[in-house]
Amino acid sequence: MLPGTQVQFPYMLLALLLPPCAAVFILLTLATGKKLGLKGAGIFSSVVLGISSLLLVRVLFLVIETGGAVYEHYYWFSIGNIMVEFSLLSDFLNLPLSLAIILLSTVSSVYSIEYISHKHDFELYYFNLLLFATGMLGVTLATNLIQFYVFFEGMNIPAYFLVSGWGTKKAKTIAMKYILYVVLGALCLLAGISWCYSLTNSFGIYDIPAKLPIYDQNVNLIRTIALTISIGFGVKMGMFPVHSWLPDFHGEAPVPIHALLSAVMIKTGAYGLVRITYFFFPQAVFDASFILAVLALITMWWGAGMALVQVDFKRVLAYSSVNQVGYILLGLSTGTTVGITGGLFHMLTHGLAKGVLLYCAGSLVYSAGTKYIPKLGGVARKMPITATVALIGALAIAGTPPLATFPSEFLIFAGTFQAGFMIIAILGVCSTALTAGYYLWTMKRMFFGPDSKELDTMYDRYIKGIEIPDEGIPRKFEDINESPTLMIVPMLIIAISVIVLGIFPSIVLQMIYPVAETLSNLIGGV
Amino acid sequence: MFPNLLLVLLIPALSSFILLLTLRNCPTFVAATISIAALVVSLFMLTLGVSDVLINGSLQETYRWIPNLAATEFGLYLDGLSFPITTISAFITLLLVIYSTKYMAARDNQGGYYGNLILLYVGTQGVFLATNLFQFYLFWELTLIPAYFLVLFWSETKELNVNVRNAALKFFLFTHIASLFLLIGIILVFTTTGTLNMLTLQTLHPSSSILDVVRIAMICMMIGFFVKIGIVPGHNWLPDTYVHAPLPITAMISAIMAKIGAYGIVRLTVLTFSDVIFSQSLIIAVIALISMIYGAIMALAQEDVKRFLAYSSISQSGYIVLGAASVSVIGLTGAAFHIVNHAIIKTVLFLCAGSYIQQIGSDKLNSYRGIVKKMPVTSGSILIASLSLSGIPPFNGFYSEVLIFAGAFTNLSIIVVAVPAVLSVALTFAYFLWLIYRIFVSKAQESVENIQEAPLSFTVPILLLTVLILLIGIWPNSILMFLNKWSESLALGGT
Repeated sequence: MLPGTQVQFPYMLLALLLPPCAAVFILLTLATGKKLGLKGAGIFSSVVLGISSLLLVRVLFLVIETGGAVYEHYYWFSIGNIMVEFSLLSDFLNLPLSLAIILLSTVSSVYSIEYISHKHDFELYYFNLLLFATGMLGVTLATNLIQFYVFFEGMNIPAYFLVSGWGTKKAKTIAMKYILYVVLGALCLLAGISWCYSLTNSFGIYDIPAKLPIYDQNVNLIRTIALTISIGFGVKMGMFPVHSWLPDFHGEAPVPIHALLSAVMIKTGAYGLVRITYFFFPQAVFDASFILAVLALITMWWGAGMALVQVDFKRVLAYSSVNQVGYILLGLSTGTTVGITGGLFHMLTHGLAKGVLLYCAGSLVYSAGTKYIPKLGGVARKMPITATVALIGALAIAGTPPLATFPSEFLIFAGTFQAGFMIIAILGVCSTALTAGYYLWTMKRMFFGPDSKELDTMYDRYIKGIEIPDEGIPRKFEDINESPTLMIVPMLIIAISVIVLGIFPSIVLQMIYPVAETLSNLIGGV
Repeated sequence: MFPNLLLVLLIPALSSFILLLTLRNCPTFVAATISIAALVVSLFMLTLGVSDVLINGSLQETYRWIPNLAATEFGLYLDGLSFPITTISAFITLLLVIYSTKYMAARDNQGGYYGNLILLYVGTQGVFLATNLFQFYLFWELTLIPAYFLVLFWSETKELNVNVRNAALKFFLFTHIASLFLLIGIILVFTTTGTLNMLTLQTLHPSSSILDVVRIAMICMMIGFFVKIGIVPGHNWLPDTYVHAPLPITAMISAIMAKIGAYGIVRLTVLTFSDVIFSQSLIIAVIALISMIYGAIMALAQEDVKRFLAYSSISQSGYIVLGAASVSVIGLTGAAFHIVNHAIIKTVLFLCAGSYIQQIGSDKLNSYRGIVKKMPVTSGSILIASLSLSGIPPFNGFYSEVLIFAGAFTNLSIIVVAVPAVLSVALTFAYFLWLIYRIFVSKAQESVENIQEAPLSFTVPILLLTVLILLIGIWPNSILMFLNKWSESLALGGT
């Protein structure tokens, strides 16, 4: 049985199934030879994703009205006498993430209309984008382990093709690394799912916790299963020591896809960790909380350290994602209400802030023709809006008040102190200084200082055909203009939401807090 | 009562005799029309059984085979297990005939080719529909003769050289000797239990006094089945045969003929042997795991597309055996589901490979680099089929694999095998990824400049099966509702 109230109208089902139907439609138009073109495919997919977003906003109001969870019930198939359902459920734990996924997908879809205009096969790009969005959304709404796995594993394939087809030249090889990592991770999850089934005779995410054997009598068994499942999620969220695919893959992805990968895709791993590992095996999580916190700390420091030495702005952002995943994990590992609230909130705020920065990176590639930090300089004079927005994003990730990540980071560290991990908390706070350091330094080198001479040399080499860069078309410094409106507006919208959430964090916090309280009660923290 | 199950076998058998005896050299059009008509009728007769299977659970027709010997009653039996397998086999054979009209058009003896193909079909359907082990064995042996001739006289190399002769002989010897083991097993079952009726055997649990004989019978029959589906170490014949057989026949052998072995395993496990198999499940599971890993690693190393797919078949057979070794309802359902899924997927893969061979003129995987630009439909289908076989949702192969693994974890004695088995799916994914990478991501060579998409008689069968992969993937209940009917009636030993 699912918790919460049943909804009769299929809001969630429509939100989930509209994008893949649109994708199939795009493919059919392609098969019949009528090309939609960039504008056609772009606008069509943005509208469809927009409708999905509106449906989910409606679900948000329903959840707030009923004050807990809402679900839709659908029968899928049965094996012997075991029913497997395709029910969908939204509560305060998954709804913020679902909304972030669908909204950012919409934004990326709009943004791509300009950004990929100098590339090829636009229809296939949007086909993959829509399927990718469906995959991520399905993970958050799933109520059944098989259904969860279908989306969790299924989203990797469009992601692979998006990056290998529309990324940089290196992306073709790097995408192989990604797919092998995540598939192995997902198979660990599959092993865990099968194992859970053998103990409980059920695949339901909300049924299994009550049916699992008692922890104290089966410590080793339950720990093994919990570990197997967590490896699957750890790979997806880029946790140390299975993180190495993340910076490579993200760094070579096209910007709108990188935004989705960093901002929401890796959060589906974190969501799985909470929804499945935490709810299924709370005592095992409690026993492992110190190990988790140490792993989180290593992830934080490793990401921050590597980000400092990058010359490619997108790589800085990619390593920064590793760094920030460490924060989320640290918050979750504390087991305290405050810490978990912080971790869950950080999933959302980091997604937004990272989205802002990535769209700025895209704007730089599009208008200035490069993303290499040493080649840029003084660009703020030519692209004031991009520079301002990027600065907001950078300050946000560095945890500066009154921007959205400040409350989440504050809660994470408060929770860590409360859990008694003193040294880890202190070292964690120190790494925040490093974060601020690499971001401000990067901003200074790219946007301020004297006008860049490198851009002119790059332009000359490009004109003479000596060197053709991977992404973007080089321009002379004086020819740089602000990016087109279709790229600026999405950026601004998200930047504003970062500020609003920073000033009024309680909009989201009041929803997340009860969930965190339940979780910490389960785990046995404070 | 209308004898529709008898007609399933009789009409194709008659048309096959007509083709073989009187129309050996007729034009393609005549031979193909006769075959297609026979197969359509056969498929239609099968689908008539759908309501009986769904409502009553089964449909049975009985005829006396040898008078006064009740043990050799000729019965035809359609239940939730055989219904999906037979219908899919009939459908696939139909598509293979359509595919052959173009692929085999330039060859001699068109009537002989189609006649043998239909005879092979009759043999496999006879096995799937058999009610007693004697009949099972007769049809089992019947498949061997047309398959041997097809490999020998219509081989891919278009001439009867020593390689072809050796491959055909190896195929014949391996599978025939294995069949003899099967025969020994059947005789032992008969002497100990006094019956050959598979339905009676299903409810019979052997007493401890005859347990040793039953165990030997089980081992003999397993050897027969394992060689047929290419389980290591009985796999040796398989890659050579697959390479030398004409492509539609390779697909037929892989998708349908090998499945009689898999069907035998799934049926056998739930027969009187379930207790014995349950006590030996670890050994069987280890054998399955070895095949899974060996096949996948060998596939990684292949340069030739047909050999590549042959090793992939060896690997996939391991999954079916693993599901059966679990002796649990969910694992057996998964194994039966995988028989259907693998038949569909492998046919798509072979037919796509055939399109490439025909259009590009090479069977080397390296010559398919960047071919997606030139042949998008074929490449798209091979992508979906590869992902499905690698267990990537939401395609059909995923569901059967999940069920097999869930079953493997349910049986406590094979849990050690279950974890490496799940991880070995990554190997399957790896060899298919290598294929996908070459077709989709690599830069096209200049030699593929003038390649065209395959003709409609190639793409239509491929697309129909690809859509089936997707449909079963979205709605797995379409197959599972039949299998559930079957699994309801199971009485498994041990668990």
